[in-house]
Amino acid sequence: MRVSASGLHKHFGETKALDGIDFDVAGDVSVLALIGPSGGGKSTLLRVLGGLEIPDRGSVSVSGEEMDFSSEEALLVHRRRNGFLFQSFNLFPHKSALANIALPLEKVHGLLPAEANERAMAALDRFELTEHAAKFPAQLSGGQQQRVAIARAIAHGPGLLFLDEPTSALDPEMTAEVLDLIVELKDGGQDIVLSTHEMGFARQVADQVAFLSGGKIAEIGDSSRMFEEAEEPRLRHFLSRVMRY
Amino acid sequence: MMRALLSIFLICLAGCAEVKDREPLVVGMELTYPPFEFVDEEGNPDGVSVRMAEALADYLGRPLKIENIKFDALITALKSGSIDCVISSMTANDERRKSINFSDPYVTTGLAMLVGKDSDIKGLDDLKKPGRTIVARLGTTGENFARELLPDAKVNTMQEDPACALEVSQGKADAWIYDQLSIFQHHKNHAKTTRALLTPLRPEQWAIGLRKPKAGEDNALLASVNDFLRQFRATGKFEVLAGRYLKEERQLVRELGIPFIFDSAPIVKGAEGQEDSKNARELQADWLFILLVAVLIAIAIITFWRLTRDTNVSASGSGELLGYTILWLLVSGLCYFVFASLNQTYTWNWEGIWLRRWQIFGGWLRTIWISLVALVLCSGVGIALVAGSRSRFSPLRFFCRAYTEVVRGSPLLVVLLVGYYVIAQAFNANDRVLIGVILLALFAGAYLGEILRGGIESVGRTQFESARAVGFSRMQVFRYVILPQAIRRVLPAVAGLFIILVKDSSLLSQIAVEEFTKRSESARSATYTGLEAYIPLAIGYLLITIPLAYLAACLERRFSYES
Repeated sequence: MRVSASGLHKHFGETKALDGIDFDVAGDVSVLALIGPSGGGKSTLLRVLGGLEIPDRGSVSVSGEEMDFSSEEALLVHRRRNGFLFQSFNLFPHKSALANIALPLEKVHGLLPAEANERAMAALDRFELTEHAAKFPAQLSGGQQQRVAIARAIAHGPGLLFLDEPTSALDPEMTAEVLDLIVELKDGGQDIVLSTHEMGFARQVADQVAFLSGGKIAEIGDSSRMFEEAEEPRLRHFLSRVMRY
Repeated sequence: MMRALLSIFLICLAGCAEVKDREPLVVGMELTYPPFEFVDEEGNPDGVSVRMAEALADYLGRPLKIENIKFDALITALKSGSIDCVISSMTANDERRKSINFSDPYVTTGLAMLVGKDSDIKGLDDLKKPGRTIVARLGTTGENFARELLPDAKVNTMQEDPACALEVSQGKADAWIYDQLSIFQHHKNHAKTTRALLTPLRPEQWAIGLRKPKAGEDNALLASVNDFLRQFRATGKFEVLAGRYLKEERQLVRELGIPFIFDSAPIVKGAEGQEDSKNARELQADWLFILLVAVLIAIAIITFWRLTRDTNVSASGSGELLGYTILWLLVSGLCYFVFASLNQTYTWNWEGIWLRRWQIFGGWLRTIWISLVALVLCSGVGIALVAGSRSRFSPLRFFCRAYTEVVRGSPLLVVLLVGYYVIAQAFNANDRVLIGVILLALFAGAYLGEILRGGIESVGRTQFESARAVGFSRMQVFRYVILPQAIRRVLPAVAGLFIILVKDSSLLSQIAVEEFTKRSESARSATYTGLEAYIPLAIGYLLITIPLAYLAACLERRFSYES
């Protein structure tokens, strides 16, 4: 993947969600994990990268293309090219699992209804969700909902997949089923940027890890190095706290 | 001590007995028709009819009680026994005689007309020319006259006298047909724009209205009232009243060589003769009508049953059945009790309503299509208001908010009257049905807009974000994600609004739109019936609203998605 940002600022009133973000990820990296304390700016950064939030200042380049934040049109194209997932409530409650995937394929990506259904069914099959195709979100468990949502996010073959704390709203068993799915996606060659509190997962699956704190990237690097020889004192403190139990 | 108490008790008893003996004479009148019946500056009833009522009570040796009741409700009050007689400038005719009794007449007047200042109308013959528009107050003999003798004219009816006068003054109607004295009074208010033609078009007589006695009841009150009227006239009391209340008018009509209202006593027939033959027609069974109504009632009953059936409770057997049986027994018992006690005084007269069934049915159909058109328009208004109040252009946003608050806070009646007589008049618009429908839609649209806005806002931020994240454009987010969910949430409230809209359409009768309520009122006041018109009216509205509610329930099921 190729993602870079320079001088990114985003303030919400007094809160400096992003306070000068600079990084450059390129080369053989297929999963980038954002870690750090809550309120450190992970979600805001992901939303900016995903084209859902407009930064006050700074520039972003995704897959070699500079993002144009002044044009809603361009942002829409950007969102359609990539995929995005929130921690919960991703699905449309008035549509079945299948229709949740097929509707954007048809209306956004211009597929014929039959094609869209076929592609949606294939996405469900891939994640062993076939039997739930006709169910409505309210009839699915949290983990199943999140898996359907991921199926929707990748059904159109996105360049980059952004996952914003995809398992934070789930219990451990469901968390495992969703994490398994993400690993499968990585093995299938999907580039992913995600924020997470699952340190074990970040360490094993991510190629690079960025540690965000106070709206800045305190440290970024290969995951093995970050977890084993952390230099930055705040990262060491953070890791010592989250890895204690 | 005991003895004292006992004697007090006995005195009380005696007192009660005496009062019971001298039950008050309850006279009904609508105190809005000076100088005959009105309320003076201190709020006391005053006028010719009030003085007559006082003298009548005196004559009968009973205390007097005056009930101020709207003219429309006077007949129902009389027939149900809550008042003894009506002295309220009531014109006697044979059709009304089928419903109530009349005393000998005490006033002979005639229908006169108010025309525009520059009008070429000089008499009845001019009114018969094609293309004339006549205005009349609803349920008056003026309305009957126009409908019977001027078949080529367009007849608009109004609820209030000033509205009729305004129609002529503004040139919306060629003539207003009403009683002599009122025409004279209103001409004075619009002296610059109107002329009063006081020569009677047709003689009319006013009489005191009395309840028809049920079988076995005596007719003593009617005889006493007639005796009273003879004596009152013989002793010159009517002249005294005229001197007190109608001096100017008396002088004017006598100058014109027209007899004054109290001048002649004999019963005038003639004009009523032709109605006799019409009403002598046999009441025929109209199978088409009966079939039509039966089908409509069947539809309403089926939808009512499906609507009220408790779908959540799976057949729980005899307990439920018993509950229903007891409920129905209670309800029918109550109905039986109420109607049985009503029947002790009420003389049913279905004939007049039956003869007008197709006319009323036509009004019912018109109410349906008025409601349908208003419903479609009001959806447009509601959606436009929501879109406007969410727009990025701030004056538009402000306009939509202000419109909603002002319209929602005003009574529909005021919106209709101001909208029709002031605003539409300013634009020279005259089609009252169209204007009425538009006003109704504009009014209901303000409510609908608020309901829709609430529904859309309740869908929530997360749905908006998710839809944006999968790449929907602004319009697509709204159309595929927000709107379907909002519709589901607001359906019950919208269905309620539409049912209110159907019922509110009855207010269009106020600007003389010939819809269901209006037709029913015309029939009721022409025949002096009460419940005979109200009961079909209630049933008629239920025949619309119950299927509508059922339709809404079906839609709700179709849009539902939560398990």
